[in-house]
Order: sequence, then C-alpha cells, then structure tokens
Amino acid sequence: MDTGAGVEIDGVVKTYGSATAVDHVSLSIPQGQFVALVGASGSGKTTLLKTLNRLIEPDAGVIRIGGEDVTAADPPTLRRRIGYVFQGIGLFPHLTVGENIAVVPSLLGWPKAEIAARVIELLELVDLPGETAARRSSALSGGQQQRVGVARALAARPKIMLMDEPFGALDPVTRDTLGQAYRKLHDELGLTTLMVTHDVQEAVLLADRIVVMKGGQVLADDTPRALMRGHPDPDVEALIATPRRQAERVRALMEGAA
Amino acid sequence: MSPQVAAAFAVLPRYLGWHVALSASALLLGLLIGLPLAVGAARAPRLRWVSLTLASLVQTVPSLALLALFYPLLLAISAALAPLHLKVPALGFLPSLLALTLYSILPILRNTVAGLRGLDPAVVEAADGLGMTRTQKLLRVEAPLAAPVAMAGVRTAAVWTIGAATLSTPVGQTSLGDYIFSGLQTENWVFVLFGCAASAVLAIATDQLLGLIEVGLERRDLRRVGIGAAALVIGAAVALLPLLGGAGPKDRYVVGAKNFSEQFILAELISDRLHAGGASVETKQGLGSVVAFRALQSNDVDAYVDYSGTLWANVLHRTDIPPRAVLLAELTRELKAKYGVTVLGSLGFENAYALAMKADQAQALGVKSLDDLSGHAGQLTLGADLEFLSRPEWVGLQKAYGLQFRGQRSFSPTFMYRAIEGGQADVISAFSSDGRIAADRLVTLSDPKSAIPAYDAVVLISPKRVGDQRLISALKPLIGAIPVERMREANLTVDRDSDKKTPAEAARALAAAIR
Repeated sequence: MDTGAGVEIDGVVKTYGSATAVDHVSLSIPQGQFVALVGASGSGKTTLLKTLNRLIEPDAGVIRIGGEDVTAADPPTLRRRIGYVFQGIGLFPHLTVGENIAVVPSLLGWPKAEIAARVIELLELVDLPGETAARRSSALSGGQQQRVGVARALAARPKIMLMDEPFGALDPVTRDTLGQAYRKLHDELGLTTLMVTHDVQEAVLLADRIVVMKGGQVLADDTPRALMRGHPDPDVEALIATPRRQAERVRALMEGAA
Repeated sequence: MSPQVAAAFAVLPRYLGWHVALSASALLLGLLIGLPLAVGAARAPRLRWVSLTLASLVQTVPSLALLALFYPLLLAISAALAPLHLKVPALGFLPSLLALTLYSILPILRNTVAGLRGLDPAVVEAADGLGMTRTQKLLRVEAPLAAPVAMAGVRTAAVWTIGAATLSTPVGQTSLGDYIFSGLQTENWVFVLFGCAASAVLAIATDQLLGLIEVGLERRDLRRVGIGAAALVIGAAVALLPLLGGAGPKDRYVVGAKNFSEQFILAELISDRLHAGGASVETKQGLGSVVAFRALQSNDVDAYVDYSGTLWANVLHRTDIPPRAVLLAELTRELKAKYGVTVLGSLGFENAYALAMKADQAQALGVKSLDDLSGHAGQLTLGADLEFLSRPEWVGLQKAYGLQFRGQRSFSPTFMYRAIEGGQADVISAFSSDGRIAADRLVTLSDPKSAIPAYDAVVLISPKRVGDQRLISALKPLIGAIPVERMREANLTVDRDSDKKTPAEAARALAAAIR
C-alpha cells in the first residue's frame, strides 16, 4: 500500500447500540493537507479518526488510503504505516525515551544501527537534546513527553498522521509552541495530517481545512479563513464566534494601546 | 548439641530436599497454570469470574483437607486407569503436588489479573495505535508493566506453598512436616520447633529472594533480578542434592507407620532389620488409619503393622465379633482374597481399645468392668482419640453396655492422657499396649460382654512384595516375638515426659530386649 497518497472516506457509519457516532461521513483529503476535525464532545470526531487506523471498525462505508481499502489490510501492519498521537501520550514507562521512539522501527525489524541513528535524528527533529534518549519518560515534562510522542509516531516515516487532541493536556504556551513546531514538521516532511481538537482557535491557526462535526455528521467543511467570515449554520457560527470575538478584542486592545 | 537436636539435623537434608522439591514443583506448576489463565481472565470477564471464584473456593478448603481429598480422588483415577495398566500413585508426592499447586494458583491468578487490568489505558492504546500484535503487546508492554504486581502474588503463593507443604506428611510425602507430626505425637517439642523453624526460614529466604526480583522488576534493574533468580536456582539445586543419592525407587522398601508412637517404633524396628539385610528403606510416617491400608493395597507402602480388630471393622466392615483366633484366621484369608494383602502374622501382643480411668477414682466408684461403668457414666466425661467416636467399636460398646457419658471430647492420643491427668476427662479410650496406662496409674476396665474385638498387632505385606524373600526373612523373626510388656516399655520411653527417647532409639532397645 502506498500511504503517500491522500485519504478517501466514503459513507462511513459507526453505531453503538441505538446511538450513531458517525453517520454517513464522506471526506476526500488530498496528500499534504492538514485537516482539523472540530466539534463538541460526542460529535463523532474521535470515532471517525480512529476508523482510519482501525482502532475502531466502521459498520459501513469504505476508507481508502492511497487508493487502497484499509479494511483489506492487517490492522497491526496498517497502523505501523500511520502515525498516531493522542492526548494520553502513552509513553511506555518501562522503556527509555530512545526505546519508546524505536518501537515501530523495531516492530518492522529495522537493523539496530539504523534504529539508533533514526532515534538521534528524531530527537533533533522534535527539538530535544540527544541525551534525552537514555532517560525515562517519567523524568520529562508534559510538553517534552508529547514531543517524544510525536517523534515515536514519526519514527517509521509514515506519510499520514492521525492526532487525537494531541496537545489538549498541555499548558497554553507549550501547546502553542508544540502546535507551531508540529505544523512546521508537517510541511517539511510533506505529511497528510488529520487532527481532532475541540479548540477551534488551535484549528484555525494550524489547519488548512476545518471539518466541523455534530451528531456524527459533517456540518461544515471549509478553509479557516472562509469559516471565520461566517457560516449560515447557527451551531457552526456559535463554535467559531468565540475565537473570532476574542481575536477582535485582542486586536482592539493592541490598537488602543498603540 | 543435645541428642534430639543432633537427631533433627541428621534427617534435615532429606526432609528439606523433599520439602523444596515439593514446594518448588507446586509453585512452578502453579505459575504454568496461573499465568496463562490470568492473561485470558484479564481479557474475558466471564473467564475472570469463573476462575477467580473457583480459585477462591479452593482457598476456603482447609489445606490439610485439600491434601487429604486428593488421596481418594487419585485412588478413583487409578482404579479407572487400571484396565490400561497405568498406575497413578495415590499417596506421597502426587497428591501433595496437586493440592499445593491448586493452593498456589489463587494469589498468582489474582495479582496477575490485577496487574494486567491496572495498566494505564493510555499505554495500552499506544501499544495498539503503534501497531503491536496481541502477542507483542503482551510481551513488550503488558507483561513487563504487570510483572511487579504479579510478582507480589508469586511471593504470597511461595510462602503459602512452603507452609502448607508441611501438611503433606499425613498423605505419605516426606517434608519438613515430618518433624512436626512425629514430634507432636511423641511430645518431642524440639522436633516440632525444629520443623516449624526450618520451614519458616525456608519461606522467609524464598520470600526475600523473590522480593529482590520484584524490586528489580519494578526498577528495571536486571542485576537484582539476576541475583535473585540465581540464588533461588542455586539454593533449590543444593537442597535437592541429597535426594539424588541412594537407591532408586525400584529396590527401595517403603515401611508405613500410622500416627502414634508405637507405630513409629515398629516402623523403625522393621526398617532397621531391612537395613541390616542390606536393603534401602524409606519410611512413610503419620499415615491416617485407613490411608495406611489403602497405601499398602496399592503398593505405595510395602509393609506396616496394623491391628486385627481395626482391619476387621474398617476394611472388612464386619460387625460380628468372633473369638480372637478365629478373627485372625478369617482376616488373613479375606485380606488375601479381596486385596492380595498378606498377613505375615501377629507380633505377639494386642493393642486393643480399652476404656481406662484413674485407679483411685475407679476404686472410689467401685468400677472394675464396663458393666460397672454404665451406672456412673452419666456423671463422667469421656476423652477419646480422634478416631474412636466414629469407629464401629464405639457403637458396639454403647450398644452392649448402654454407655451414656455426661460429655465427650476428642483429643490427639498424646493430649488424651494429659486430659485425664488434668481432670478434663474421667474415662479415656486407651490402648492396651500403651506404657502410660501403668505409668499414669490408670486401670483398664474389663469387657465381660466381649463388645470389642481382638486387636492383635499384625505385620502386613503389600501385594507387590508377596514373594519377596528379603522382606519376609527380615520380618519373619518378629512374628510372636514381642510380648505386650516389652511393647509397653518401648512406648513409654518415647511417650514419657523426662528422659525421652526417639522412636529410633526405642526400636533399638526393643530389638535388643527381644533378641
């Protein structure tokens, strides 16, 4: 499977009993795009994200990555080719930072020397000093831990990154720094990124495209700029109103001070 | 060093070796069953419920009873497999191993399940999200992270197993419990303490080494894990060394003994004679009354001494009471025909059940026979040994004389004599060959209605050894050679409070006296 291409989501449905978490969602994401999935809790955005690497199996619909149906692939093999970063981070506490980053390459059977070199390279990529490799993850700050989480997800050079509230548990400054740093990596490495977030401001500042979900359905799907100019759907409007208002107040404050 | 302590140290290598062999095998088997079961149970709620409930249920069975229950179970299995010419030993190592294994499963299972289910969900999600297979997730993430908690369970299991292994003595498995059981019967408190201390030291040492491994796992310190594991393996190997020497089980004679002094002495006497003939001998002491015969019948024991009346009632289930000689002749014929067991002959003395009272009290009440006793029983308390009240002889006595005591209490034989001395019992179920009857100034009451059958001490030989000349020529000279006075003397030297002899010393003195 060539995961270098984009993602096609076609009529995906996922129900839990009588509740429909994802309701016939179709999206076409070209290679290299940074897509933010936003919406309130229970809108289905995380469920949709997890159907892409089959952490959740859809009930209906087709997902193609690089033109190939993901349901035809063996889930572990599929996941090793897709980067996955989530709010819980989930670094393995019994392994060093270097061993954590090396997990997927070692699952793929890379030679030891190549893995070691890749670990150094990745630490540099996420702006951590090389000696971090020998440390335990518990000795790192939350921001440093998620840098390791991103490095671990990128280790086997995936072309697609799935991120589930990746910076949600971090303080605002770290969150902003990491968000910017990741956006830079996305561009440099030519990744295709799907990021779930409930923070519209983050979505607006990082993504090329914002998909707003509610009740398992797509309410809006547009560029950040277009969305910020307003949207006919009151739910979407409510969602983007707050960051817009905040931005305007900040701008007014700055201008008033000048 | 006192002779008793020296005697205890002399048998330590063999007792300790078997104790280690038994507990280590049970623990390893417990791990082999418990760990995979825990992995399954952590994933499947129904399996978790069933397995934890069953394991807890096993734990509620007293360990002694659990060990005892495996004996009839294995007998039944052995009988079922007999057509296939497969022999399952019902006594000794196997029942002990199975019971202890069952016992060790709960702490291993419970802690491992807790360890696996207590993992940070984020770590498990990461393992899945990165593309680990089920097996990779288990080996690379779940097992190492759950290991410290699981290890705490293994420690508990080890301590329990080592402690409970002392209870394998009554089912015929040599262990450190041999000190405790024989010491308790012969009031050799040095032996009892020695046995307790030895198993405690073993348990503590094992626990500490497992603890070292646990800390090593927790801190990801392979050096500690290595040192702990190496010390355990080396320690077990050293303890097992003494078991490697000696003759194989094929030409080794197994002499059985029930759980009282006379039996210990007679077993030593028989062993000594076999030794003198150049044979290799092992004794299985402290067997329950019925267990001893079943063990002989299934060739787990080659020879032991039993009593004609006991076999008559408990093995042949007879309630009639023929004269002494008739009973012996019929018993010999029936045991041969039904079980292939040979009655080699009577040793020459009787160890009958007899009700005994303090001589002064008997005189004061004017009681000489059981007939006389029936009028006074309502004011008296009966102290019986553990078996007596459930034996047909007691039923026969009650029927014949209408005995109704004010109260009935059960004691182990040793404490029964203490009880009558201390006034907790007025009448006891004594044994006629017991040296303490005369020594404690007791009198036995006569049985004018012959309600109690004869109890000639007879030597029994297993079906397998029926034509074994070495065994028969070693034992034949004992037939008719031990008068009851000699046996009483020997019993008293072991049972008395001061200047106690070990059963082995008493056996040597007895051998010298009857030569």
